[in-house]
Amino acid sequence: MNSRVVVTGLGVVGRLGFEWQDFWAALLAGQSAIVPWQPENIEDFPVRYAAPVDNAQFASYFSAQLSAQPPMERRSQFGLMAAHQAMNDAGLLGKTGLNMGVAVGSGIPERYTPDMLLAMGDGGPDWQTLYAKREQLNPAMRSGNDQLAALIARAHGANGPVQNFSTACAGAAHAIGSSFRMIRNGEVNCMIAGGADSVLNLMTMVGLNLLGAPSVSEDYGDKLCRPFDEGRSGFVAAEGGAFVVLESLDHALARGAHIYGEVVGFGSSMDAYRVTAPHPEGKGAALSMHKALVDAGLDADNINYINAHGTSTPLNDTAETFAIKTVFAKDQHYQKLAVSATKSQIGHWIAAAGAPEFIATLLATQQGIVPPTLNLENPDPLCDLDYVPHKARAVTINAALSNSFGFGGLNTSLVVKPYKEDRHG
Amino acid sequence: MANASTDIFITGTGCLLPGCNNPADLWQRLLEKKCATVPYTSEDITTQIISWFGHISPDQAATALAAVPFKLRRYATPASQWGIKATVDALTNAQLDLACIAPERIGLFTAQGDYSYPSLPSFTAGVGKAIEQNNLNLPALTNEFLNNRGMDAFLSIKGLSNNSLAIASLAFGTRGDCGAYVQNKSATIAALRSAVMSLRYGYSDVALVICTGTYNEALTLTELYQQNLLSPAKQGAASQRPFDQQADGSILGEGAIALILETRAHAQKRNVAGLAKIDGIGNKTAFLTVDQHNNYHHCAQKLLQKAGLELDSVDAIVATGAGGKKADQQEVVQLEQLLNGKDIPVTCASAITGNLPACPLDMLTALQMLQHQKIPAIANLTNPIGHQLHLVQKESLTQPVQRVLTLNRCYTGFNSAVVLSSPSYQ
Repeated sequence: MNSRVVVTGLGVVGRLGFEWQDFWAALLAGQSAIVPWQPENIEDFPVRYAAPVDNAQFASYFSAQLSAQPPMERRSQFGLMAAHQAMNDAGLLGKTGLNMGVAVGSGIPERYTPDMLLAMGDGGPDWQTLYAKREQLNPAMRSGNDQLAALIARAHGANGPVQNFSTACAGAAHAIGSSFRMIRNGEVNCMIAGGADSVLNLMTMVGLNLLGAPSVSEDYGDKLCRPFDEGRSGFVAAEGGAFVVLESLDHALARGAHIYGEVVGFGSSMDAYRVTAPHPEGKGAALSMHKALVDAGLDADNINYINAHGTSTPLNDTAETFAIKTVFAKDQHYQKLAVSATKSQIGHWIAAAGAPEFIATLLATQQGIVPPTLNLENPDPLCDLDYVPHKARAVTINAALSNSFGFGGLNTSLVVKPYKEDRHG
Repeated sequence: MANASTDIFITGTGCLLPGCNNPADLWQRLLEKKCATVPYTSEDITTQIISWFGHISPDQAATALAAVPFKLRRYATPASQWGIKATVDALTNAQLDLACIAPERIGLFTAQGDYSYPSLPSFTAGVGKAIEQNNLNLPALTNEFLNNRGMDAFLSIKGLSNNSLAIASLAFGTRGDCGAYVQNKSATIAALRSAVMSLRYGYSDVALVICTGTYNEALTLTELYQQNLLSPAKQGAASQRPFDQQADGSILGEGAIALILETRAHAQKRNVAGLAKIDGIGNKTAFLTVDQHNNYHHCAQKLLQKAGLELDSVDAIVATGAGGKKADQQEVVQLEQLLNGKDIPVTCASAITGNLPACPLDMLTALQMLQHQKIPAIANLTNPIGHQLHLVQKESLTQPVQRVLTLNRCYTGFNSAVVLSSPSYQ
């Protein structure tokens, strides 16, 4: 028999706050995390805006926890603290003997210019030069890409499955979805799942810029992230970490845990279309939403809210709209949906993006209020859904979807419902 | 949805490993104890400290590149190219034409050891032109990167999305369930676990598991060398000496292994017997202290218990044999505790290829053992460190092999176990 899976702990660390309550309040208040930004103080770098975590505030807020940790990448710092917050919120800090695993979505490793320069000999990169200067090398760079997953497992005594997903912008949603499956199928009782990422360094931003993915526009100032708007021109990069604690319902009830909501379905798919672009009709996206609904045993008309991937890129937003209209075509249910793009407020957390957006979806479902899509001033005629522009809105939600789509054509959708003792109630 | 007890079969394998273009090559080398590691070479990195490596040869690399559809080649990392080649062979081995299966029902799960991008070479061109008297001119560097293409234009594609998943989905037209894992050796288990779950609970009809990676990356080599994990390779190809008293460290390597997984029902429907049944997958993570090594045998015990198997039903064990003196001593102690005096032969394959990231060399070896009913001797093993263990030495054993326990441990603290058995074995 399948176990029901509930969410019992939340943790978000980003520019809008270091507690989920601050993050959520900022979303509902329509705040934006996007500010002027340049990598490593290069003044003429073409990307001019981002949503970086405030270093001083972060270091101050988490000084006690961070001081005991080994050197680690920036993203791992955010993720480790977010996981700590989620475990604390779930009342599981310091608990032992849990049959618990860890699933993390992480992206491209951080490579900082000064570190890469250590390897440069007279004739190019030289291993011996690098080795001779190894003491100067940022120790965080020498860890594997699963550093964060390992740190979380160690910090919380998780000795079950450890998964480090690298499915680009779908990574954290994949981590949550896989965790949901493992608990539902009885492999574990509890999972710490989410993601963390930081692309705000020269190497990665150059790579992304060469692909034309981030916006280089200066037309809209800090209103640059404009999902579904005619003036959208690319994503706005951000950084942060977000984690949730997922448990089997029995496990959560047995320990009297507070339950935020229930995960009822997960779907994943691939576009198999192009490396650099989504299918223009959102075929892969539609498939992941459809599979998630089937997995949840829900008809499309049970869904009231979709937290869209909504990147503010020209290609994604029309493709996602098309996909939503395909999946929710029956009786034109798509016209009744509230759809919002949290990235308009927090920017694009890349591999971690699915985690704060899943949390926003869950809280919207629990509290019956949907965060807005900011900066939607001139909707693209091809984007003709109700995107909840500008202001949060009260909506009664029976079930909601959270979409995350990754570069290379990797798609995920998660379905959540408010927790009720009677599943069908 | 499928029944939770649905048996999962491996119906095809392929590989591209040092000195091995297919599993038969590996088996031949195992029987002959013929190591495939060679002097370390790199177009991008100069070093005299790293002297020996399990390389994919230029010929092998060319073959792999040819297996990748032309339009995808510029996006694919070498590791992805190896993975595509291994998968093409695995599909042939499984007699499986993917065109006969709905793309939405084909799952794809990829494992990668660690990122090789952004790599130092990807940084080279721009930096070389932007260094002025040992100081970096950052604006000049940025200009070089952005305007003169001084950096790989597809860096993000190669580094961001675990390249192999995106490339493989396009190469094979798969649109179903998916996952990509970048986590050293444990990536294999993560991918395998997800693939099995996807099949068992009806999310896929067929699952491709593609495992690929390289340790040939300067930052990784620096880290492992600094931890004193690498052999100085004074004995050349005989330097990786699993469980031998003369062992002095690991030889690293690279390569790819692909597995085709199906439910028993799906394989039978195609009249395919399959190569092996997956009896169970387990892992135990020991990120606590370096002294907590008992997770290795606890991992195996837990798995056997969960799968309802007695250790007596296991005919052979394929162990890790990293080649490090301390690591192998720890593994021997763990094996002795696990076996508790039972005479179950233990072998390993790491001496042939070197230690590989994210490649289930142990499973591939086990599949060959099930097929050939032999247990290969451990190459380069002359003076064993575990006298209570039945380490297979000198000559291969010919005996019934119906069930094999594969055990893996990674220096990161991750331990895993997989039990494979002959398809007809009950």
